[in-house]
Amino acid sequence: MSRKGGGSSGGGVAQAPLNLVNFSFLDHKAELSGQLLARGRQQARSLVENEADFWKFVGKYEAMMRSTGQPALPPLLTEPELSEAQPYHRSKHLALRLNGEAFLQDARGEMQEQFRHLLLVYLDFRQKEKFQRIRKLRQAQRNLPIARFRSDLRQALDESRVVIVAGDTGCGKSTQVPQFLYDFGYRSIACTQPRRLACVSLSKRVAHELLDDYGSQVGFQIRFERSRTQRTNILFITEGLLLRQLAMASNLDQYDALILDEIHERNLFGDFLLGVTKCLLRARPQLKLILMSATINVELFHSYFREEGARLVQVPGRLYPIKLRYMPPPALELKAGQAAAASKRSQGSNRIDPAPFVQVLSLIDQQYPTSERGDVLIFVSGVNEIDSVVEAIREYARQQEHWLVLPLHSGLALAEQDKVFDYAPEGGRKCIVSTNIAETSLTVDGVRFVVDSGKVKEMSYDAACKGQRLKEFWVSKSSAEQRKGRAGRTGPGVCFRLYTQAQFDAFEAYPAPEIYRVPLDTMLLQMVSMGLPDVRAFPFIEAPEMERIEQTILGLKQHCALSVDEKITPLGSSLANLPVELSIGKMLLMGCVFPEVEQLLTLAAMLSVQNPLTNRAHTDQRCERERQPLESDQGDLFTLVRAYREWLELKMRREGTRKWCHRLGIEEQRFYEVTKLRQQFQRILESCGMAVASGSSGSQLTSAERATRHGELRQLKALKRRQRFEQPRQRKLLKHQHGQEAEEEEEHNEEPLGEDMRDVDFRLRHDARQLALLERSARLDRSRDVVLLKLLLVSGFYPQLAIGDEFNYCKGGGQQFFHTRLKPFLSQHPNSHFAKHYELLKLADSDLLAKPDFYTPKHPLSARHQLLCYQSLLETAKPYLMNCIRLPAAQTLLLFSFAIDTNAGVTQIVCDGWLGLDFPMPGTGMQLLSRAIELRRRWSSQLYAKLDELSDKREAPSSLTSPSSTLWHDLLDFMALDVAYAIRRLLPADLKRLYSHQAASAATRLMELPANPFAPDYAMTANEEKGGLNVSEHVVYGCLVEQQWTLAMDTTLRSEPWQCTRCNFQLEEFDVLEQLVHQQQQQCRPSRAKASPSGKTDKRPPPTTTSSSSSSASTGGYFCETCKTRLRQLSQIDILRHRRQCTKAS
Amino acid sequence: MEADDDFVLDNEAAEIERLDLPAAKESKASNPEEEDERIARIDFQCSGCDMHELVHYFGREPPFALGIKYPEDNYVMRDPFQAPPPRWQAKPEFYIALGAKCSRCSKTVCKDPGCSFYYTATFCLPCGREELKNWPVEAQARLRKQLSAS
Repeated sequence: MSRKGGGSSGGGVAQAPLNLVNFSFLDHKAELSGQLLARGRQQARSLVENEADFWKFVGKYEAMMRSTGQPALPPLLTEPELSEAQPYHRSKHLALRLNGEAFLQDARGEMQEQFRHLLLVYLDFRQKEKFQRIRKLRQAQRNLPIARFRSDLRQALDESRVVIVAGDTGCGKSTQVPQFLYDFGYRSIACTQPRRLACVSLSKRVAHELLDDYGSQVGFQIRFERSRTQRTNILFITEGLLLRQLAMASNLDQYDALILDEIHERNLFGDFLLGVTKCLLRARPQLKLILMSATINVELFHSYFREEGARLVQVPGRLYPIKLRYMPPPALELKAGQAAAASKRSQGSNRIDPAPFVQVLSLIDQQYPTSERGDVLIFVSGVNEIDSVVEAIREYARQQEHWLVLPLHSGLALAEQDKVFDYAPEGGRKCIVSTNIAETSLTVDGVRFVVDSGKVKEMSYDAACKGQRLKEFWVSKSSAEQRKGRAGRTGPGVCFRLYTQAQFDAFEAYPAPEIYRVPLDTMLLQMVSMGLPDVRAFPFIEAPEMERIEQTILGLKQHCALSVDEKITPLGSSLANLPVELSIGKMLLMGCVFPEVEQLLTLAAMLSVQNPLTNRAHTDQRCERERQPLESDQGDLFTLVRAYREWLELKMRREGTRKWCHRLGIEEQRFYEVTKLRQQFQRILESCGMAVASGSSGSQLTSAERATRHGELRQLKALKRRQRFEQPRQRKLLKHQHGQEAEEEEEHNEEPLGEDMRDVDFRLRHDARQLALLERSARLDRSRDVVLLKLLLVSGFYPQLAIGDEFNYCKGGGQQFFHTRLKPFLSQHPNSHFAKHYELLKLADSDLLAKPDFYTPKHPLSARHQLLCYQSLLETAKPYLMNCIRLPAAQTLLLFSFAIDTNAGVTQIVCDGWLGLDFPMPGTGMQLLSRAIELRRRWSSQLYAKLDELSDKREAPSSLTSPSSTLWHDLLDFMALDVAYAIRRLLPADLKRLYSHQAASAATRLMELPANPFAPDYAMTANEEKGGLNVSEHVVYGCLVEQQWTLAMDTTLRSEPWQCTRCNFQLEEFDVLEQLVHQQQQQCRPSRAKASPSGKTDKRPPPTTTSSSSSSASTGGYFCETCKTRLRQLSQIDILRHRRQCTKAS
Repeated sequence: MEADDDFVLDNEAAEIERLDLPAAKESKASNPEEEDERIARIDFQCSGCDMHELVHYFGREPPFALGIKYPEDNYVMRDPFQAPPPRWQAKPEFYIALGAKCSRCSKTVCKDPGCSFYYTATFCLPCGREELKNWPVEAQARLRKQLSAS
């Protein structure tokens, strides 16, 4: 920094006036920059915000003075002179003074004095700039169509509690109405948005307009983030979160005005909120409700709130005229050669034909000179369609180089989505190919041409098979009009419709609301947990079919979330607290019975996020190769958890993860979400006492670690602060792409320049110990962990099971079919592991076992039958099973089926009326069933004990650890049981003659027993419907009609005697019923154990662990704690019986 | 619900400040009045147009303005377009003057050329028109140009 002008003594030169002809301040930069400094508290500070900008100004100023013939700088005036009107001096226009005392150095000599004056001129200029910035902002606000309706809104609010603001996108309602309310004096305004992103961007925009960019007057609250403080007056919040606030606490007392935005979208939460707020208005007489919608079906909302006296404020949009041209594909002339080529390529597949789109572009090229600006927005139905069209247009753009193609859909990374806002270079046009995301939710300015395919892909829900279907439909009239409107936002435009007027006329008026298209279980459960006595009476704006509501209620009952009389159960209210799908919530709660939930949390979080694998992950060979080592035979879910673990390991080593994710085709954002979600699960479970706080015990950091961590935190927070105050992304000029690959490369290199804020965030939240804990939770190496986790998955997903087609064994990969109870012939998703490795789901030849003579059916006998449990059904091109895991069939069915029916000999079991199990080996069916019943009851009683504990709020620290680990081991033993059976799918014809519909003679004998041999404290009753006896919550004994083979089996066995395994009692015939009866009798007392008379050997592998109470038969027998005897060579079931007997006796 | 939001951003600003300036925290706690300096409370309303804003300061030497002062009382706002400096520190150009009182009729006017003119002092345009005859021709020309534009 220069202090004094070196050599030349300042004084001499100073007296002569400076003349810019032979002088420039720029030549003295080094010397003069010191003159910009003011004394600071800690260090000197420059008076200008941006010195480079200042020097640029100096250059321009000098040039201007020279060119206007005033190169000689006039002498400076003193303060008294400045207030004299005469004579004229430019500086008398300056409304600003430098504060001489504040400067670090005094200005000496003419050059420094004049320089200071120039600084003042600059600062004054900057003041004017900033002033104008504020004025322009206000002007823009005033020019919005909504601005003229401010007083109307005020009046409406004075007169009514409900106001509907209907105005098209771009009228400014979302940004202005909250500010109007603030101006009217409301101080706690909540504004809901369907999308998280909108919450963030609106809160930024409104804060900016309130000149509070850096304050917290305006905040947002979305799933993992909030920026709300006590000072926040306007809060943008997602619909889901507001509903949750409603469910948790009261009547939203914290807000004095509630704005529901975008209600025309008619999504599930939006509709739900409408109904809830309608009720809320009664409870909160002071609350004001403002509904905002596009001008779509406004009458529906108005009449819905008619009895509340809703006022309607209609805001006309700001739309330029739009020329409409119907151009159904055949009407287009085939002109462009490229287009023809493009259409040829797509023939033969059911991909869309991109030719019409290219032809419209070529039409635009012919009719509109490129000197007229204007971009193109193309609407197609889905991502695949976008890809085909983008590809074809890129081809076309090789000749017509002024075209820039940009895809736009919600699956794109945010940075990618942002690109559509960038400018096309002069003479260029950008062409955005989009899904319906650009219809209302995202507004791109500068669009002059809209090309509408008229198609939309919508998820529909098939309640009958509980599957979702992604299907292409014609859009509704209102959607088509919205699409058209996008062309007229910045000037007159043109809309090309690739369909006929007649087709348009046949479109539905409005799109179907989401409530008709998605499962209702979460919503209905929320309603009940909010205290609604009868969900059927909920004031739906448009009610779903009654039958679907009934089905959903039934489902909730089956999952024990609702009691028989439709009251919420402890399980139900816990489920309602968890912000996830019911199935995932249920597995979390079921898992809380066990000592360790860490892995389950990770798994459940992984299930709850969008698939982390990108499209590229399956199309790019390199990604496939990179992921190869992580592939798990247990299915895609387990592969993902492995990848997540690998990712965590990279984080632990402080290595970059972004490139790694890109290499494997993983959308890294999802892994961050998994981490956050997992943490959220943990917090919820801990806060309600379901899970023991982890990491609190003994995982304190050492002081050295703490010190390092402290330093790291400081650094990270500084980074975060910098990012927070960073200017929002500016629109950039788009570059021409030459080949897609090059562009991708470039992007990839461009990325690491900025600090990865997600990584900074992640590191802020996780110290080394926490990271290690996380990493451990993603380890799924031990098979026992895998088995337990799979059971937990099924506990949530049941009845989402599928069985392989019986002819799969002789077919190739493409023809593997699976059946669920409600829907036959489903496929594995082609990208899934089981589609590629379908042999994993088949029986190997070595798994097939010899059949006894009496077992005549053709079904193969094996101990290794498997079932698939799937997360969802999705129908796109074909119906697919998504996210499957595989499980031992019989064990899984017996543990989870809602209805289990048996014959008298328990050789035949039917689960939920669709899968039949045959156990032709004596005693095995009985063995499996009784163990399943016992385990099931233990599991649910432990769960309920835990839930009751919570509802009683008793301080009972979990003493359940030991029984739950026993349960765990017993479950593992059960799953590993080697029992030979056949499994088959029952067809409707089978069902007709399945049940005896009468009390079997055998059953009556059971009734006479002192206790229920299956479930001791369950009162047996006759089952009127199927026949037989209800012997446990889920089991009906003896209701199945005997088959030929079961009768034959009975006959064969009757010829053999049976010996009780516990006493010396012998039966002349092998008769299951007699055995059961015998074991209930007093004379059956345990004595020296005898070998099992059926001659079966327990081939069960040795259990992985030994616990005190359940020891294995293969190692030195079983020692019973209660009667202090060692029992040798007992099968597991015998031990079980013994235990029950013993405990009963004691 | 409050509890499940991960990283509670409320306290972030405060926390960062604490890290940056350990000393500042105590004085903040002892003097809650200080908090107010950051909130705009002074009503500024232009008599010439409908500009209406809340500002932080009225006078000649805003405490948050670094190295400058005003020759007359001004309505000054902390610069909303810059990140606020840590407390007790100044930031360059962290001020925007929105307007002043007309030196002749004392009406409040904003700095827009359509509402006021500055020559040795602030004049609202009607007063400027009256005053102009006393000024040198250069100043007259400038105001006339401004008057014809607005």
